[in-house]
Amino acid sequence: MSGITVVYVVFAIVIAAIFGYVFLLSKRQQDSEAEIEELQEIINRRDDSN
Amino acid sequence: MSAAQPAAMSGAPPRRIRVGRLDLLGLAAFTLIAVALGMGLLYAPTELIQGEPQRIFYVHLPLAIASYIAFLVVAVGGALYLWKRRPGFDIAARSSAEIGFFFITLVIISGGLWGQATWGTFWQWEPRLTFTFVLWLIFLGYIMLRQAARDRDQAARFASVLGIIGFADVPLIFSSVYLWRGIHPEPTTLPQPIFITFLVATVGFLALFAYLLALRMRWDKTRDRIDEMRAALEE
Repeated sequence: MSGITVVYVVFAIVIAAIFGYVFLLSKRQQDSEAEIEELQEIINRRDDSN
Repeated sequence: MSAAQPAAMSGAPPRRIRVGRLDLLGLAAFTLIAVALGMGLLYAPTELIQGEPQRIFYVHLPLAIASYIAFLVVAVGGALYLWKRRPGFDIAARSSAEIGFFFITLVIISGGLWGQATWGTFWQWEPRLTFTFVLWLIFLGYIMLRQAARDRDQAARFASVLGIIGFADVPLIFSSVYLWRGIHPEPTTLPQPIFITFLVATVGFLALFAYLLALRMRWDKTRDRIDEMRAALEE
């Protein structure tokens, strides 16, 4: 692999990695927010039963 | 009346405004990086000695600079945590460590492929590469320590010390080309089109670092809230 091909390969790896990491961060955030909603429901139910 | 009051009175969540700003920062970072990559391919001239592979420089060095800034945030955040014991400093440090590790991994991959095309080797145990590998290992250890530890305060203290020690490797990487002989060349004055492209790429990757740091810190704060809620449930 030489010349311009290696440049395109490196640019593609960097762009794919960045988008992958942003996607991972967004997914973690969504999962954590869903977990908060679930926990809030449990806390509300517990408070109501008390 | 403060600016925050109308939003609070109307019931609109103030967090939405922050997310909007964050989106703009992300958009600016991705636009600048896209422009820089385009300039690297179309505007910057082909370097005479290395030829086309030299264009890897427009991602390799800006990513390296962004990773050093990330590790600086780890060291400063860690030092401030040890001094003030405020969780916010630890959140900034541990978030920045993950992003710095991500960036330095990309630096090693892009540099290896550039070296393969230019020097005929992906890796050599020369000073700059060796110190970069040491930095990568230190922050791999930092991340593993954070994930393995059960006592959060103890993990934060140990990781703060490790982050400060780890950052001490950055000046060694920077000065290694002056102190020892290796395959990395000493920095030279860049022709204007190459320098302008490099500058746009560096600003883009620094904006990307700020964007990723904000996203990562937001998630860490959400995790802390989950831990608090779980603790409240266990009481």
